[in-house]
Amino acid sequence: MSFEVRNLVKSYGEKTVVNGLSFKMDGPGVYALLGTNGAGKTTSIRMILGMLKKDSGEVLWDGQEMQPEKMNIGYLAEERGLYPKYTLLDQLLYFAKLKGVGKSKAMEKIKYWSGRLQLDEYIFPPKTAKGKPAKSMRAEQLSKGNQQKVQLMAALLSDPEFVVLDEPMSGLDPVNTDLFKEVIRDEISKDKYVIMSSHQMPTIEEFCSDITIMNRGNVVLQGNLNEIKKSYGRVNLFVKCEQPIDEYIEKAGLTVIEETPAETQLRVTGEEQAMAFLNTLIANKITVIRFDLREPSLHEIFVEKVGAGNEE
Amino acid sequence: MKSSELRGTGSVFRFTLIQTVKSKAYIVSAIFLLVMSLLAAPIMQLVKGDGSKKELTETAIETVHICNGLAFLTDGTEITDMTGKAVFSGVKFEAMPLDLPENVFSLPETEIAEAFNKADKANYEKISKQLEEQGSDCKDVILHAYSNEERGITVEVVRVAGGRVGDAECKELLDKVCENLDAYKIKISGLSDADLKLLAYNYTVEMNYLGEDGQISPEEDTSIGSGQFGVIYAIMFIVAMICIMSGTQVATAVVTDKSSRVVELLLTSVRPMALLFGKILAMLVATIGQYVVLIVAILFSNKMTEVLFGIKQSYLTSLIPKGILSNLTLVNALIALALITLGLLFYATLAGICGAMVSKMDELQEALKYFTFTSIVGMYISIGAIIAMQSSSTSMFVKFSEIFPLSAPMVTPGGRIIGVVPLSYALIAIALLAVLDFLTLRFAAGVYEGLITNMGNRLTVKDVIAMAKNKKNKGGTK
Repeated sequence: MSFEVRNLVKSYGEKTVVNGLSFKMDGPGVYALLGTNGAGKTTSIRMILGMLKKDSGEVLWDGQEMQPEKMNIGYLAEERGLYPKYTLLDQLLYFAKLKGVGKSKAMEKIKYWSGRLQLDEYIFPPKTAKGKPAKSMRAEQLSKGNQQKVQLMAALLSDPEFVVLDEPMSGLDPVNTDLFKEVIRDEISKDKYVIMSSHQMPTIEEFCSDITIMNRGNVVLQGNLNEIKKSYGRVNLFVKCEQPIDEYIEKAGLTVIEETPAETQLRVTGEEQAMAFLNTLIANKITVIRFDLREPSLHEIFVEKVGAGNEE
Repeated sequence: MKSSELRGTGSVFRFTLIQTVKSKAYIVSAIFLLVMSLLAAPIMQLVKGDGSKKELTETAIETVHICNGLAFLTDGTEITDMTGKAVFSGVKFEAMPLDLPENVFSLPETEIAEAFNKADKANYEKISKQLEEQGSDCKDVILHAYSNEERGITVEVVRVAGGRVGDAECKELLDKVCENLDAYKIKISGLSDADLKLLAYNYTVEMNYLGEDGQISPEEDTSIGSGQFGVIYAIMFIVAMICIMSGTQVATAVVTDKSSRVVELLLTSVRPMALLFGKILAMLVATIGQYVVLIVAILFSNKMTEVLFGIKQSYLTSLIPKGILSNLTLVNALIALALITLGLLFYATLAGICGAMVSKMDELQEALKYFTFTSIVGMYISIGAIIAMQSSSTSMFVKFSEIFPLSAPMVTPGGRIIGVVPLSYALIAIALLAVLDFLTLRFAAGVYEGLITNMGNRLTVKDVIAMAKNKKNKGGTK
């Protein structure tokens, strides 16, 4: 099984909002679509899911034109929503029914996810004081975070083979973020095809092996995340010493990226320059507490690529 | 539009229908309509049902005291003949003799009347005092006939307030007395049987043309009567209400999907047209269901009223002219059903498109103006046509309204049922509506996908038409 997007194009009048997006997933895993607001990520996702007609290009599932309405797809949209006035149970059963999941199976799944996402008290509230079964709550009675959990539940109820998560962690508190991460990790372990879009770079680094960075509809960087990072080399040096080291930094001609009480981040040309700087510090009897040479973070790569694109 | 675009319609239909029927607004309005319908017939019977055909089988009246102050009657026997009113057969009629001057009829005319009035007044006061003394046990009534210059002849039945005699008995007694008085007037007029026969003749008025060939050709009366007007107007009103109610609900449901942002999740499973179709069907069933319940409740209430009031025909039934629905055959019922269904489909699709043009609930009214305008045009043409039918059902305007797609669903079903719309016109109306529905649905299919995923911006009609025309832009604007 493979998933491939070939030369996807979408324009509104004179404005091209997605310009030739192509990528491929040869097997299960997580693919990241990154970009600033308005970069074309959501439009691309809508085209992939068949909600928007593409002007040109192909979306292939196992080599054939993908027919989303015939597939089992889980989608957590960026513009999330639930019917505010309907009960959670009613709408979850409805979403499951639209995915072809029968009522008893759907109830089983709802109970499982409700327990896992700690939503039992809202979907299956305890009996009232008079012993009568309480009604499932309406969406409008839930906090934003809990509504987001219900939406994740709706996306995963049918145990989809293809999952699209558009900004899954935005607006969540740290506890729920961890809960979401755990669920996503489980889905990945089930050999699913996941497409994830996010502004939270650490999240992408945590889950995704391959990425595409988009800017104003164009692809500005694409490939395996590790290889991309490797191609930049180890140029980020984090140093902490007991004595001031400003004069040695100046002598070595290094650029200070950021200086905090905890550490100083420097930009080096490579490992050789870093080692030469370390030798200088040792030779001058500077007590080195921390000396950490790293590849650039995805955040830095993103800012560099998108920033450069926006300046053009 | 492909059949695959309608996959999932059933699920959308069921969910939308159940949620609509479960909503407080629907339950409250349904209960209100149900209660009103159940109470309609008995209330009308109580308020307007005095002239009902209730069969009076017994009476509490024991004695009728006749106070006859009418100068032209010599005694009260002319009005006490109760032939055909068996219920009053055991009732005693006692005429109170008038205390008149001996040579009363030799007095001038004005003084005769004055003498009669004076004697009558004395009688009336005397007997009313007697009846008042009996109080609530009183089973007697006074039949009082008198005349004055202003009101002419007055016949009244007087009973004791809170006494044993009821309204219906008094009414029936009065009816019979008035009937006797009419007969007496004819008797003293000296008319022969031949004169009476002539008076009883019915005649018809006609306006005819004399053609060039010398033949007289009658001008056909194509106007509708008040009964027919009532039926066609009622059907028009119900269809218009269903159109407006279900259309508004479809638009609201579409905007709810968009404003609550659920639409994106739904679109991974169903196509936009399935969403629209499911909602249209659900809202039509919900609205029609309310009206069916209403009509069934009225029929039930009417039947129960007849049973409980012990009457053969309720006041409500008496309002419907006999034989008015004689043209309601199976074929005509199917034609009416087809016209109404196609009409509702058109209006609901139009409302769905209007709903898809906006993303927020508070913008809905603004978007619905196109739907409201169209439905009002259809309704006004229909009302105008039905009013015009009272003069002639063959005028150009009426014929136009019978086939014009906006008014045909409201005018033609009722017109066909009462027999004023020819079959050919009904079939033309069905064909035109089918074409309009096809075009509207094609238009909706063309633009709906883009409209429904369009979040935020409010679209104008110009935008929508441009989306339908420009295939490149098909799929939405941003």
